[in-house]
Parts: sequence; structure tokens; C-alpha cells
Amino acid sequence: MAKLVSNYPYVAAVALFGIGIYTILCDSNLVKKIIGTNIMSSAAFLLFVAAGNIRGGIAPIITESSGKYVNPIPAALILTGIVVSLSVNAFALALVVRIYNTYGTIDADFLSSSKGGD
Amino acid sequence: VGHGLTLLALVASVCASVFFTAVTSSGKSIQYAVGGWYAPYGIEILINPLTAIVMLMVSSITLIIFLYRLGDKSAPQHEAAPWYDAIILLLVAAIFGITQANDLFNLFVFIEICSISACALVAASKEGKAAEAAFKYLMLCTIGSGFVLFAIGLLYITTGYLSFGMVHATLLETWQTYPHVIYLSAIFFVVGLGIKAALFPLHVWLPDAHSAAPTTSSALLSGITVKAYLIALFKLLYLVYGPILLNELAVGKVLLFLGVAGVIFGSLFALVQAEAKRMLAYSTVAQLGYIFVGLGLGNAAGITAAVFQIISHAAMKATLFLVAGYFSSKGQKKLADYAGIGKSEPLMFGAFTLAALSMIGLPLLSGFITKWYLFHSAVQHGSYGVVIAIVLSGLLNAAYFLPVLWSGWFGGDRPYSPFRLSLTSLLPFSLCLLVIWLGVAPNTLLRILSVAVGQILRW
Repeated sequence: MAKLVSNYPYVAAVALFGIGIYTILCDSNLVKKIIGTNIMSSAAFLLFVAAGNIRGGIAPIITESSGKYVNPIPAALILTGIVVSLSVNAFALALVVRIYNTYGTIDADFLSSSKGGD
Repeated sequence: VGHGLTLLALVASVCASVFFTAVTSSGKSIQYAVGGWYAPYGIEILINPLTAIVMLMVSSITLIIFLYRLGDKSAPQHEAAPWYDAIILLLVAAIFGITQANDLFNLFVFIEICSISACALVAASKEGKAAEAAFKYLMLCTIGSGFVLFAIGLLYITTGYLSFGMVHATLLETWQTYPHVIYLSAIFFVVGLGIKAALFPLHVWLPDAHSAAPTTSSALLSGITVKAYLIALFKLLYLVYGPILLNELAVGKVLLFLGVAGVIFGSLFALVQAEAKRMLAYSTVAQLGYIFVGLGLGNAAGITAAVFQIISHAAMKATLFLVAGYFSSKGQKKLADYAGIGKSEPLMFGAFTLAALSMIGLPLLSGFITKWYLFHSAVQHGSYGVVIAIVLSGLLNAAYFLPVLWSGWFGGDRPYSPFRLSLTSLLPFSLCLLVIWLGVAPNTLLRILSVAVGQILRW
């Protein structure tokens, strides 16, 4: 239990990951599904950034007097990850607009029921 | 002009792949550090015999599919055409990236580029249901990417490296310290890439996406894109975890079990489809099952079968989708419409027949070689259940393809028409020649594969 408390960023990452997947799979609103993907990728980002962080560490500019510094690689990776997630979002939202123009709804349940009709 | 440039780029990538294949066929690898920075600081690119042969397969089959695209009415035309061409090139670039990447994070970035361009290829159809299928595909792909990124995070935390070789070396030393984390990361990789590569219970997006897409896209997606994720999974399992660790973690058993399930259930679902493209999509699920079975068996013959199937299935399924798309552009979407089609379109349906017979696993065609190696591997492994499953799936393949072929050649009454030679009808046939060549003279490819597989298992 003490281990869980001291490693709370990882616990949060796992919880967010679960919430994200649940939202994507179980929410019928397409826009909420997209929000779910964001929550899920944030979980993965949190995992990286928490791993790179050192309490009391400074920016990794190494001089003679510098002490502990934060590992910059996870942050650099996550910048790329954020860009990737942004482009997925943009594309997904564009698809939602097209689905709305075609079917007049952004509700997945209604989409699958209207498909049975034709 | 736009098409010309795309064509030029694809021809150039074929030439580059031929060059790389020639250089690496002796077992040599080419390593390049971007900007002169070697791992762990910089990004490294690695081309080994396996990479080169997969690149050759991807670029040459994309070239043939692209030539078909020039006459494909269901693919975007006019002002949308250059964008569509650009997405095809992006897809090829992403797959080249996946095969060449030598570190975890670049692999992830290229997997994402591949997923987005694949979804865009589905959405390129004018039909409304394509947007819906593309959205479903994109959501499941994003879940897959989330799993992959999480797994990469876990590996990075436990090892401190991203480069394949260094992660592998560190894992061998430290995996006993964090066995649960390592096991979790392996499972996350299998789930994440399994979603994208349609591993059996995670294949739900594939039939919708592959059948709603324009013909060119269906052929690209079913023939090539899913293979990219399999290559990624293959590299992760065998270069990062390595055979020793895989044995300890029993990931192979999971892949084997789900692969067999995919082979059987994919075929059963294919059996009940009325629409040609949907049947082909379910048959893809079954055929991908063979690749997972090969990877799961994990011995030299199994991996050879898996990689051989990656290449041979690309040729077979591209042929089938191009022919089915050609027929559906003439208004024959359902399998029932195929009655007598061999009489009016002998060349097209001939290509369909050859590819279908290869799927069933007739000797002298490439599908047979895969099954032969899988048998060999399963017997070596001592899993006779897999042998039975492969025989059963061969029978099921026959059960859904043979009635179509029979009614196509002998059913219906249509006028016989002479051979009409056109570029569109020659393209599926040229893919068929590849299927026949791989079946009659597989030694050229198998020699390269034995070098590549030997290298991987030695590692």
C-alpha cells in the first residue's frame, strides 16, 4: 500500500488508461470517444514523464555547479507523442463532421440502428 | 503530372529495395546512424536481409496496385486524386520506416503514420458508410497505439534504453528483477499490435474497413498494411525480447492459440458472407492467423512460414481484391452475381481462380509452401493440434472458394467472350505470376529467408 502511495503517478497513469479505454468502447457519442482517446494517450504520456522526473531536479543544462537534473529524453519523446495524438484528433474530428453530414447524428447507437434499415 | 511523379517515386523505391536486397542477400546488414549520432544518443536505421525482402515486396506490390488505381473509378478522381496518391506514398514511407526502425520510439511514430494513412485510405471512398468504417478503424487503432506506447514506456522505465539491441541486452540481465512489468509490456505489445494486425478476437474492424474502402485501398490494406504491423510485432518479439525471454514469458503460446482460433473462425465467418469483398476480408483474418501461428511456434520453420506467408498473402489477396473490385465496378458485388463470370471475363476470373486455389493451398502455388512449412514446424514443435487445425482450415478455405469458382466457370449462361487484353486485366495477372513463381520456385526467396531467420534466432 505504501508502495502504491509513493508511486502515485503510475497509479494515476493506469487509472487514466482504463478510463480512456472504457470511454472509447462504451460511450456512444463519437466526440466523447475522441475525448476518450485523449485521456488514454495522456495516461501513456504521464507514464513517460513521471519516469523521467526526479524530485528537486533542474533542467538538464549541465554546468560545474549543477546537481540533480531531470532526464530530458521522456519529455522529448512525449512532445512527439503529443503531435501524433493531435493529428489523430484532427483526423477523427474531420471524420465525425463527415459522418454528421451523411447520417445527421453523431451517436454510435443510432448509426448502427439506421444501418440496419437500408 | 501528379500520377507521373507518384509513379516515379514508387519505381524509385522498388529500385532501392532491389539494391538493398542484392546487398543484404548474403546476410550482411546495413546500419546507418542519422546525423552521425550512434545509439543511445541518436537514431539508427538498420536494414537486414529480412527488412530488404519485405521492402521489395511492399514497394513492388504497391507499384502494381497503383497502376490499377489509374483506371479505378472508385478511387478519388480529379482534385482529390493528388491527395490520394500522397496518402499511398505516405503509407509506403511509413511501412519502410517500420521495417527499418531500430529503436522503440521511431517504431511507434511510424506505426502511427501507418495507422493514420490507412484510415485515410478507407475514408477516401465517397460512400457514407466508409466514413463510419474509417472512424471505427481509427478508434481501435488509437487504442492499439495507446497499448504500444504504454508498453514502450514500461520497457523504457525498466531498461533505460530505446534502441532494440540495448534494450535486449539489458532485458536479458534484469528481467528477473521485474518479471511482472516485462510480462505486462509483452502482453501490451501483443494486444496493441494485435488490434492493428487483426489478431483473432480483435479483428472486428477489419471486415467493415476493408470492404467499405475503394478497391485500390482494399488491396493496399489487406495485402500490405496489416503486414507492416506484423513485421513490427515480429521485430519487437524477436529483436527486443529475443527467443530466450519469449520462451520464459510464454507469449508464443498466446499467439499460437489465438492464431489457430483466427484461422478457424475467420474461415467460418467467410463461409457465410454474401458480398465478395466481405468474404475476402474475413479470409484475410484467417490467412493472417497462419502468420501468428508461425510466429507462435517460434522455430526456424515456423518463422520462415510466417515471413513467407507475409509475402505470398500480399500477392494473393491483392489479386483477389483487385479482381473483386473490378467486378464490383461492373455492378457485380455479390458472390451470387459471379455465376458464369468466367465466360465473359476469362482473364480476370482466371487470376481470381489462381489466387483462390493458392489460398486453399494447392501444390505449385505459393499458399502451399506456407502450409508445408507450418506442418513441418508444428510437427517439430510437437503440437499436433495445430496440424489438425491447418488441415481443417484448408478444407474450410476450399468450402468457401470452390463453389464461387465452380459457378464462375460453369454456372450461369453468359456469352463467351474472347480474351480482351487491357492494362486493368493484366495487372491482377502479373500478381498471379508472382504467386505461381513463389509456388514453383520458392528456393530463391527461401534461401534469403533462411539467412535472415538464422540471424534472428542466433541473436
